[in-house]
Amino acid sequence: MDGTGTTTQATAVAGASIRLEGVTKSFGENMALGPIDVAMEPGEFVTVIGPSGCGKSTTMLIAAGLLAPTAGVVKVDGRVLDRPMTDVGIVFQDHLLLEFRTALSNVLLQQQIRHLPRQQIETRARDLFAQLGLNGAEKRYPRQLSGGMRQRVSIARALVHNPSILLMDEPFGALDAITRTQIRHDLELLWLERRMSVLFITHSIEEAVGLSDRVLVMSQSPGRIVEEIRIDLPRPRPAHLGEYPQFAAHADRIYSIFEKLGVYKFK
Amino acid sequence: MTMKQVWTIVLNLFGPVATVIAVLAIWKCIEQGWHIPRYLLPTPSEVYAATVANVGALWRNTAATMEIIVFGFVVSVVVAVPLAFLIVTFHFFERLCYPLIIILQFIPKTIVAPLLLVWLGIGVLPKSALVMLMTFFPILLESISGFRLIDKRIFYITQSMGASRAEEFFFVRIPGAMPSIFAGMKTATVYAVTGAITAEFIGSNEGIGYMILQASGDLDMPLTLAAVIASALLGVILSAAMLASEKLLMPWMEHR
Ligand SMILES: Nc1ncnc2c1ncn2[C@@H]1O[C@H](COP(=O)(O)OP(=O)(O)OP(=O)(O)O)[C@@H](O)[C@H]1O
Ligand SMILES: [Mg+2]
Repeated sequence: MDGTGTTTQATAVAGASIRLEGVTKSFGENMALGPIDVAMEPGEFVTVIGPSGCGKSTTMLIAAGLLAPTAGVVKVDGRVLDRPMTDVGIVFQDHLLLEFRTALSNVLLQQQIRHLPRQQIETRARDLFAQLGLNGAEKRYPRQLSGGMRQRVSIARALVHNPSILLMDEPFGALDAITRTQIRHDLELLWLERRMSVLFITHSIEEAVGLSDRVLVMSQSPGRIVEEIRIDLPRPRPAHLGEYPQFAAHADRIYSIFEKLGVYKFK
Repeated sequence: MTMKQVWTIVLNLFGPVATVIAVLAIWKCIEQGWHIPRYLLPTPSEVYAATVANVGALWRNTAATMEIIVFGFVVSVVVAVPLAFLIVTFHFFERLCYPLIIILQFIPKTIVAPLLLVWLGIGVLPKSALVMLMTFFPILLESISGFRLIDKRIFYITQSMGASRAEEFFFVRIPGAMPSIFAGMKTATVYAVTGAITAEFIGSNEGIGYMILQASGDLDMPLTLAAVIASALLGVILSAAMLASEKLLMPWMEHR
C-alpha cells in the first residue's frame, strides 16, 4: 500500500477540496477563532489537534456551513459556501442518533431525506454495518447498543450516501482505548477505499499521527493554526504506533509544540 | 406457553384480584360493624343487582360520556400539540401566547361550565368544550417541554442532509416529543373524565354524570354507586387505550 491515493477503489468517491480563507469567529466580544486559513486537497485526510476550547468544533461547524464565520469565507471546490454543506457526512463526539429509530433506520434517514433509491442505500448500509462490525445491530434501538456501537452507527450514517467530505469532531472521544484503536483502523480502511476528504478533530496525538496525511496544530484564544505537520507514512497504519520510530518522532513533535504553547503545565 | 409464562400471568392477576376482594371485604365490614343504614351505604350485592338491572342504561350513558370525552380530547390534542410547536419554534409566538396561557391556566375550569352552556347551548358541544379546556394545559405544557428537550445538534445533522423544515418536523420533532406528548395525554385522561362528568352535572340529559345526579336525587344509592363504578371503568379504559397506543407508536421506549 502507498500513501499517495492510488489504491484499488470499489466505490470511488472523488473528494472535494475545502478552503477556509481568513476565517474568524467572535461570540459577542469574545474573539474565539482565527483568523485561520486551511486548504484541503480532494481526498486528503487532515486532522486538527489543539487544547480544549481553542476553537476546533467552531472551525468544523464553519467548514460545514452550519455556522456563519464573522469574517472570511469557506470555499468548496472553489465555490463560496453560503448554506449548510450537503455533500457531507458529519460525526460528532456524541453519536446524536435518533433514539426512536433502530440502528439501520437511523442510517437510512439519509436515504429518506435525500430521496435516494431505497434498495441501493440499504445494501450499502448493510455493507457498512458489516465493515464496522455491527452485524446483528440493525434492528436494535440506540439505547440497546454499547457506546462504541452507537458511534459506529453514526459513522455508518455519515458514510452511507458516499459523501465527498467527511467531518468528524472528536468522534472517538467517548470510547475506551481498545475500541478506539480498532475503530481508528476501520475508519482508515473505509477512507482508503473511498477517498473522501476528511477533516478530523481530536485531542489525541496518537489518533492524529495514526490517521492523517497532515496535522494542523491549533493554539488557544484566539484559536490559530500554529504548525502544520505532514505525515508521509505507509497505510494502513499499525495498531501500536509507539513501536515505530517514525511515528514516535511525529508524536514527540506535537508534544513539544504543546509544551511550547504552554498547554501542559507539568512541574 | 411455558410454566414460567403461566406463573407471570397468575402473579400479575393476583394483585388486582386481591385488591378488589380486600375492598369488598372492608366495605362489608364497615357496613356491618357500624350499622350504617342501607339507604346510605348499600351492600356490594345490592350494587351488583342494580348494575344488572340497569345494564342497558349504564351502557348507553357510559357511551354518551365516552363520546364527549373522545371528541373533546382529540380536539385538545390537535390544537395543543401544534400550538406547543409554534411556541417553541417562534419567539414572537411565545411572547404572544404566554400571558394568555398563564391567565387561562389559573381560571378554575369547572366554573366556566355554566358559561359554556350559555354560549354553546345544549348537546355535545359545551360538554366537549369543557373536556377540551381541562385537558388542554397538561397536553400543551408537556408538549412544549417535549419539543424543547430535543438536542438541537441533531438539526446540524438533518441540515447537512438538506432537510426541509417540514422534514425536520416529521422525522425529528414529532417522534422526539412523542414521549412527553403522551405523558401529557395520560395526565389529561383524569381531567377528561372529571370534565365530562362535571359538564353533565350542570346541564345534560344523558351520560354517566347525569345518571349519577338522577340516581342520587332519587336516593337510589345502589344505582348511584353502580354509575360511579362505571365512570371509574371509563377512566381505566381510556388509560388502557393510551398505554396500548403508546406501545404501538413508541416501540423504542421501555414499557412496563
Ligand atoms: N455558541 C457559543 N456561544 C458563545 N461562545 C462559544 C460558543 N461556541 C463556542 N464558544 C466559545 O468558543 C471557544 C471555542 O469553542 P469550541 O467549541 O470551538 O472549542 P473546542 O476546541 O472544540 O473545544 P473542545 O476540545 O473542548 O471541544 C470557546 O472559548 C467557547 O467558549
Ligand atoms: Mg469541541
